[in-house]
Amino acid sequence: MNTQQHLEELKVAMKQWAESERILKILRTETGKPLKQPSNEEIIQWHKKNNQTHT
Amino acid sequence: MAQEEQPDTHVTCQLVKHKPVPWLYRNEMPEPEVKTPSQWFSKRWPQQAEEFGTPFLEAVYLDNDLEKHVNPISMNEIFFASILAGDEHLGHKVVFYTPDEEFYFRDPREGGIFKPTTEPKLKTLLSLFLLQCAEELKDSTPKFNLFVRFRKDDELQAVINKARSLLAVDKSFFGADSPNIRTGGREEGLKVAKAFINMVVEVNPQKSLTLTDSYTAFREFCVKNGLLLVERRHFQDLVGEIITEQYGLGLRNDILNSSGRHQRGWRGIGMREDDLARLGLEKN
Repeated sequence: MNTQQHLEELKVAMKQWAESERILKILRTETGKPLKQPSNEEIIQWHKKNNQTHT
Repeated sequence: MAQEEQPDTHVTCQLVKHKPVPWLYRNEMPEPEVKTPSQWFSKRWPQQAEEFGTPFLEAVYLDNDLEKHVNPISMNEIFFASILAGDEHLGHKVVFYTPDEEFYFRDPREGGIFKPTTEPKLKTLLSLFLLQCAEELKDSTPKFNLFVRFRKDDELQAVINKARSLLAVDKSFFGADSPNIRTGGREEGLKVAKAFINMVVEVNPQKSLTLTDSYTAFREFCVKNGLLLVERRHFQDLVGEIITEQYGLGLRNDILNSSGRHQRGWRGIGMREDDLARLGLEKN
Protein backbone atom coordinates (compact mmCIF):
# COMPACT_ATOMS: atom_id res chain seq x y z
CA MET A 1 0.00 0.00 0.00
CA ASN A 2 1.45 3.42 -0.94
CA THR A 3 1.50 6.46 1.31
CA GLN A 4 -1.48 8.10 -0.39
CA GLN A 5 -3.66 5.00 0.05
CA HIS A 6 -2.53 4.68 3.65
CA LEU A 7 -3.49 8.31 4.31
CA GLU A 8 -6.89 7.83 2.70
CA GLU A 9 -7.52 4.75 4.81
CA LEU A 10 -6.45 6.56 7.95
CA LYS A 11 -8.79 9.47 7.11
CA VAL A 12 -11.81 7.15 6.79
CA ALA A 13 -10.86 5.19 9.92
CA MET A 14 -10.36 8.40 11.95
CA LYS A 15 -13.78 9.68 10.87
CA GLN A 16 -15.45 6.46 12.00
CA TRP A 17 -13.46 6.46 15.22
CA ALA A 18 -14.57 10.01 16.01
CA GLU A 19 -18.21 9.06 15.35
CA SER A 20 -17.88 6.00 17.56
CA GLU A 21 -16.27 7.97 20.38
CA ARG A 22 -18.92 10.71 20.18
CA ILE A 23 -21.60 8.10 20.94
CA LEU A 24 -19.61 6.12 23.52
CA LYS A 25 -18.71 9.27 25.42
CA ILE A 26 -22.41 9.77 26.12
CA LEU A 27 -23.04 6.16 27.16
CA ARG A 28 -19.98 5.80 29.39
CA THR A 29 -19.75 6.78 33.01
CA GLU A 30 -16.39 8.38 33.58
CA THR A 31 -14.02 6.54 35.87
CA GLY A 32 -10.81 7.60 37.56
CA LYS A 33 -8.81 5.53 35.08
CA PRO A 34 -8.13 7.48 31.84
CA LEU A 35 -8.60 5.62 28.58
CA LYS A 36 -5.45 4.98 26.58
CA GLN A 37 -5.24 7.04 23.39
CA PRO A 38 -4.87 4.57 20.50
CA SER A 39 -2.20 4.94 17.83
CA ASN A 40 -3.09 5.57 14.16
CA GLU A 41 -2.26 1.95 13.39
CA GLU A 42 -4.62 0.71 16.13
CA ILE A 43 -7.41 2.88 14.70
CA ILE A 44 -6.86 1.44 11.21
CA GLN A 45 -6.92 -2.11 12.62
CA TRP A 46 -10.15 -1.35 14.52
CA HIS A 47 -11.71 0.00 11.31
CA LYS A 48 -10.57 -3.04 9.28
CA LYS A 49 -11.97 -5.42 11.88
CA ASN A 50 -15.38 -3.71 11.83
CA ASN A 51 -15.45 -3.77 8.04
CA GLN A 52 -14.53 -7.44 7.88
CA THR A 53 -17.28 -8.32 10.36
CA HIS A 54 -19.95 -6.45 8.44
CA THR A 55 -19.22 -7.01 4.75
CA MET B 1 -41.25 29.71 21.28
CA ALA B 2 -44.26 29.70 19.00
CA GLN B 3 -45.11 26.62 17.02
CA GLU B 4 -44.46 27.01 13.29
CA GLU B 5 -47.37 28.10 11.17
CA GLN B 6 -49.02 25.21 9.43
CA PRO B 7 -52.18 26.12 7.44
CA ASP B 8 -54.93 23.60 8.04
CA THR B 9 -55.92 23.58 4.38
CA HIS B 10 -54.12 21.49 1.77
CA VAL B 11 -52.32 19.47 4.42
CA THR B 12 -51.58 15.86 3.62
CA CYS B 13 -49.70 13.24 5.59
CA GLN B 14 -46.91 11.01 4.37
CA LEU B 15 -44.72 8.10 5.39
CA VAL B 16 -41.75 8.44 3.06
CA LYS B 17 -38.31 6.90 3.55
CA HIS B 18 -35.02 7.64 1.82
CA LYS B 19 -34.70 5.71 -1.43
CA PRO B 20 -31.07 4.96 -2.25
CA VAL B 21 -29.87 4.70 -5.83
CA PRO B 22 -30.16 1.06 -6.93
CA TRP B 23 -26.87 -0.74 -6.56
CA LEU B 24 -26.56 -1.26 -10.35
CA TYR B 25 -26.67 2.51 -11.04
CA ARG B 26 -24.80 3.77 -8.04
CA ASN B 27 -21.79 4.87 -10.14
CA GLU B 28 -23.86 6.74 -12.72
CA MET B 29 -26.58 8.38 -10.62
CA PRO B 30 -26.07 10.82 -7.74
CA GLU B 31 -27.59 10.00 -4.34
CA PRO B 32 -31.00 11.72 -4.02
CA GLU B 33 -31.00 14.79 -1.80
CA VAL B 34 -32.22 14.27 1.76
CA LYS B 35 -35.10 16.71 2.23
CA THR B 36 -37.16 15.44 5.16
CA PRO B 37 -36.49 14.20 8.71
CA SER B 38 -37.72 10.70 7.80
CA GLN B 39 -35.29 10.60 4.88
CA TRP B 40 -32.44 11.81 7.10
CA PHE B 41 -32.99 9.07 9.67
CA SER B 42 -33.74 6.29 7.16
CA LYS B 43 -30.63 7.14 5.15
CA ARG B 44 -28.48 6.80 8.25
CA TRP B 45 -30.27 3.67 9.57
CA PRO B 46 -31.62 2.00 6.39
CA GLN B 47 -31.89 -1.49 7.83
CA GLN B 48 -33.89 -0.32 10.86
CA ALA B 49 -36.23 1.74 8.63
CA GLU B 50 -36.76 -1.33 6.46
CA GLU B 51 -37.51 -3.51 9.45
CA PHE B 52 -39.33 -1.14 11.82
CA GLY B 53 -40.89 1.39 9.45
CA THR B 54 -40.68 5.07 8.53
CA PRO B 55 -39.19 7.20 11.32
CA PHE B 56 -41.88 9.94 11.33
CA LEU B 57 -45.41 10.58 10.21
CA GLU B 58 -45.02 13.88 8.34
CA ALA B 59 -47.45 16.63 7.41
CA VAL B 60 -46.96 18.15 3.94
CA TYR B 61 -48.24 21.60 3.09
CA LEU B 62 -47.61 24.56 0.79
CA ASP B 63 -46.99 28.05 2.17
CA ASN B 64 -48.31 31.27 0.68
CA ASP B 65 -45.42 31.31 -1.83
CA LEU B 66 -46.33 27.73 -2.82
CA GLU B 67 -43.15 26.40 -1.28
CA LYS B 68 -43.52 22.83 0.01
CA HIS B 69 -42.76 22.08 3.67
CA VAL B 70 -42.57 18.72 5.41
CA ASN B 71 -43.17 18.80 9.14
CA PRO B 72 -42.64 15.68 11.28
CA ILE B 73 -45.69 15.36 13.53
CA SER B 74 -45.37 11.96 15.17
CA MET B 75 -42.45 9.66 15.99
CA ASN B 76 -42.34 5.98 15.16
CA GLU B 77 -41.18 4.86 18.61
CA ILE B 78 -40.19 1.38 17.46
CA PHE B 79 -37.82 2.75 14.82
CA PHE B 80 -36.16 5.06 17.37
CA ALA B 81 -35.89 2.24 19.93
CA SER B 82 -34.20 0.10 17.26
CA ILE B 83 -31.52 2.70 16.49
CA LEU B 84 -30.55 2.70 20.17
CA ALA B 85 -29.34 -0.88 19.63
CA GLY B 86 -26.15 0.70 18.26
CA ASP B 87 -24.30 0.66 14.96
CA GLU B 88 -22.58 -2.70 14.59
CA HIS B 89 -20.31 -1.19 11.91
CA LEU B 90 -18.77 0.76 14.78
CA GLY B 91 -18.67 -2.29 17.03
CA HIS B 92 -21.48 -0.86 19.18
CA LYS B 93 -24.29 -2.82 20.81
CA VAL B 94 -26.84 -1.86 23.46
CA VAL B 95 -28.96 -4.46 25.26
CA PHE B 96 -31.53 -4.44 28.05
CA TYR B 97 -30.55 -7.17 30.52
CA THR B 98 -33.87 -8.32 31.95
CA PRO B 99 -32.63 -10.09 35.15
CA ASP B 100 -31.19 -6.79 36.47
CA GLU B 101 -33.54 -4.48 34.48
CA GLU B 102 -30.52 -2.54 33.30
CA PHE B 103 -29.19 -1.28 29.94
CA TYR B 104 -25.64 -2.32 28.96
CA PHE B 105 -23.49 -1.11 26.07
CA ARG B 106 -20.45 -2.79 24.49
CA ASP B 107 -17.33 -0.67 24.75
CA PRO B 108 -14.90 -1.45 21.88
CA ARG B 109 -12.24 0.63 23.62
CA GLU B 110 -12.10 -1.88 26.47
CA GLY B 111 -11.96 -5.19 24.67
CA GLY B 112 -15.66 -5.28 23.80
CA ILE B 113 -16.71 -5.62 27.44
CA PHE B 114 -20.32 -4.64 28.24
CA LYS B 115 -20.78 -1.83 30.75
CA PRO B 116 -23.94 -0.56 32.38
CA THR B 117 -25.48 2.66 31.12
CA THR B 118 -28.53 4.62 32.23
CA GLU B 119 -31.85 5.64 30.72
CA PRO B 120 -30.99 9.37 30.96
CA LYS B 121 -27.83 8.70 28.93
CA LEU B 122 -29.80 6.88 26.23
CA LYS B 123 -32.26 9.79 26.15
CA THR B 124 -29.37 12.22 25.68
CA LEU B 125 -28.08 10.16 22.76
CA LEU B 126 -31.50 10.12 21.12
CA SER B 127 -31.88 13.83 21.74
CA LEU B 128 -28.54 14.46 20.02
CA PHE B 129 -29.56 12.44 16.96
CA LEU B 130 -32.72 14.60 16.68
CA LEU B 131 -30.67 17.76 17.07
CA GLN B 132 -28.19 16.63 14.43
CA CYS B 133 -31.08 15.97 12.02
CA ALA B 134 -32.57 19.43 12.69
CA GLU B 135 -29.21 21.10 12.12
CA GLU B 136 -28.38 19.30 8.89
CA LEU B 137 -31.71 19.72 7.10
CA LYS B 138 -32.44 22.82 5.02
CA ASP B 139 -34.02 25.86 6.68
CA SER B 140 -37.31 25.28 4.85
CA THR B 141 -37.89 22.19 7.04
CA PRO B 142 -39.99 23.10 10.10
CA LYS B 143 -37.66 22.53 13.06
CA PHE B 144 -39.90 23.10 16.08
CA ASN B 145 -40.98 19.48 16.58
CA LEU B 146 -37.48 18.16 15.98
CA PHE B 147 -35.82 20.62 18.30
CA VAL B 148 -38.44 20.99 21.04
CA ARG B 149 -41.34 18.55 21.06
CA PHE B 150 -39.64 15.25 20.28
CA ARG B 151 -36.75 16.05 22.66
CA LYS B 152 -39.09 16.43 25.62
CA ASP B 153 -38.72 13.84 28.35
CA ASP B 154 -42.10 12.15 27.84
CA GLU B 155 -41.44 11.58 24.12
CA LEU B 156 -37.96 10.22 24.81
CA GLN B 157 -39.22 8.05 27.68
CA ALA B 158 -41.76 6.43 25.34
CA VAL B 159 -38.87 5.38 23.08
CA ILE B 160 -36.88 4.04 26.05
CA ASN B 161 -39.91 2.01 27.16
CA LYS B 162 -40.07 0.40 23.72
CA ALA B 163 -36.31 -0.22 23.81
CA ARG B 164 -36.69 -2.16 27.06
CA SER B 165 -38.63 -4.82 25.19
CA LEU B 166 -37.00 -4.52 21.76
CA LEU B 167 -33.44 -4.82 23.07
CA ALA B 168 -34.24 -7.34 25.83
CA VAL B 169 -31.78 -10.17 26.51
CA ASP B 170 -32.10 -12.90 29.12
CA LYS B 171 -29.76 -14.35 31.73
CA SER B 172 -27.87 -16.50 29.22
CA PHE B 173 -26.59 -13.38 27.39
CA PHE B 174 -24.01 -12.92 30.15
CA GLY B 175 -23.96 -16.59 31.18
CA ALA B 176 -20.72 -18.28 32.21
CA ASP B 177 -20.55 -20.02 28.80
CA SER B 178 -21.43 -16.91 26.77
CA PRO B 179 -18.77 -14.91 24.88
CA ASN B 180 -20.36 -11.70 26.22
CA ILE B 181 -18.68 -10.28 29.28
CA ARG B 182 -19.96 -7.47 31.48
CA THR B 183 -18.20 -5.55 34.21
CA GLY B 184 -18.83 -6.63 37.76
CA GLY B 185 -21.33 -9.40 37.04
CA ARG B 186 -21.44 -12.66 39.03
CA GLU B 187 -20.53 -14.65 35.91
CA GLU B 188 -17.23 -12.74 35.61
CA GLY B 189 -16.22 -14.05 39.02
CA LEU B 190 -17.46 -17.51 38.06
CA LYS B 191 -15.27 -17.55 34.93
CA VAL B 192 -12.18 -16.50 36.89
CA ALA B 193 -12.84 -19.05 39.64
CA LYS B 194 -13.40 -21.81 37.05
CA ALA B 195 -10.14 -20.97 35.29
CA PHE B 196 -8.28 -21.04 38.63
CA ILE B 197 -9.71 -24.42 39.65
CA ASN B 198 -8.99 -25.98 36.25
CA MET B 199 -5.42 -24.76 36.44
CA VAL B 200 -4.42 -25.75 39.98
CA VAL B 201 -6.87 -28.27 41.44
CA GLU B 202 -6.43 -32.02 40.98
CA VAL B 203 -8.41 -35.05 42.09
CA ASN B 204 -6.41 -37.03 44.63
CA PRO B 205 -8.05 -39.21 47.30
CA GLN B 206 -5.02 -38.70 49.57
CA LYS B 207 -5.28 -34.93 49.53
CA SER B 208 -7.57 -32.34 51.05
CA LEU B 209 -8.01 -28.64 50.47
CA THR B 210 -9.13 -26.01 52.96
CA LEU B 211 -11.22 -23.04 51.95
CA THR B 212 -8.63 -20.72 53.50
CA ASP B 213 -5.72 -22.19 51.50
CA SER B 214 -7.68 -22.14 48.25
CA TYR B 215 -8.73 -18.51 48.80
CA THR B 216 -5.16 -17.45 49.62
CA ALA B 217 -3.89 -18.96 46.35
CA PHE B 218 -6.87 -17.58 44.43
CA ARG B 219 -6.30 -14.06 45.75
CA GLU B 220 -2.66 -14.19 44.66
CA PHE B 221 -3.67 -15.60 41.26
CA CYS B 222 -6.11 -12.68 40.71
CA VAL B 223 -3.67 -10.00 41.84
CA LYS B 224 -0.82 -11.39 39.69
CA ASN B 225 -3.03 -11.61 36.60
CA GLY B 226 -4.96 -8.36 37.10
CA LEU B 227 -8.28 -10.24 37.40
CA LEU B 228 -11.44 -9.35 39.27
CA LEU B 229 -11.02 -10.45 42.87
CA VAL B 230 -14.09 -12.13 44.29
CA GLU B 231 -14.67 -11.42 47.98
CA ARG B 232 -14.18 -14.38 50.30
CA ARG B 233 -17.87 -14.63 51.26
CA HIS B 234 -18.77 -14.96 47.54
CA PHE B 235 -15.76 -17.18 46.78
CA GLN B 236 -17.11 -19.93 49.03
CA ASP B 237 -20.40 -20.08 47.11
CA LEU B 238 -18.79 -19.79 43.67
CA VAL B 239 -16.07 -22.38 44.24
CA GLY B 240 -18.42 -24.66 46.17
CA GLU B 241 -20.76 -24.65 43.16
CA ILE B 242 -17.94 -25.38 40.67
CA ILE B 243 -16.38 -28.17 42.75
CA THR B 244 -19.73 -29.86 43.28
CA GLU B 245 -20.43 -29.63 39.56
CA GLN B 246 -16.99 -30.80 38.40
CA TYR B 247 -15.96 -33.28 41.09
CA GLY B 248 -19.22 -34.11 42.87
CA LEU B 249 -17.71 -33.06 46.25
CA GLY B 250 -19.44 -31.04 48.93
CA LEU B 251 -17.94 -28.55 51.36
CA ARG B 252 -17.31 -30.10 54.79
CA ASN B 253 -16.17 -28.87 58.22
CA ASP B 254 -13.64 -31.55 59.22
CA ILE B 255 -10.58 -30.79 57.10
CA LEU B 256 -7.41 -30.51 59.13
CA ASN B 257 -5.13 -27.59 58.39
CA SER B 258 -1.35 -27.46 58.90
CA SER B 259 -1.84 -26.63 62.60
CA GLY B 260 -4.11 -29.64 63.08
CA ARG B 261 -7.31 -27.59 63.47
CA HIS B 262 -10.60 -28.41 61.79
CA GLN B 263 -11.48 -26.15 58.91
CA ARG B 264 -14.00 -25.92 56.09
CA GLY B 265 -12.85 -27.52 52.84
CA TRP B 266 -12.94 -30.53 50.57
CA ARG B 267 -11.54 -34.04 50.87
CA GLY B 268 -10.40 -35.84 47.71
CA ILE B 269 -8.95 -32.83 45.91
CA GLY B 270 -5.82 -30.76 46.35
CA MET B 271 -3.67 -28.18 44.65
CA ARG B 272 -1.08 -29.29 42.11
CA GLU B 273 2.17 -27.98 43.48
CA ASP B 274 3.96 -27.92 40.11
CA ASP B 275 1.17 -25.73 38.65
CA LEU B 276 1.20 -23.44 41.66
CA ALA B 277 4.92 -22.95 41.13
CA ARG B 278 4.47 -22.43 37.37
CA LEU B 279 1.90 -19.69 38.06
CA GLY B 280 4.22 -18.11 40.60
CA LEU B 281 1.82 -18.84 43.49
CA GLU B 282 3.00 -19.86 46.88
CA LYS B 283 1.44 -22.69 48.81
CA ASN B 284 0.25 -21.51 52.18
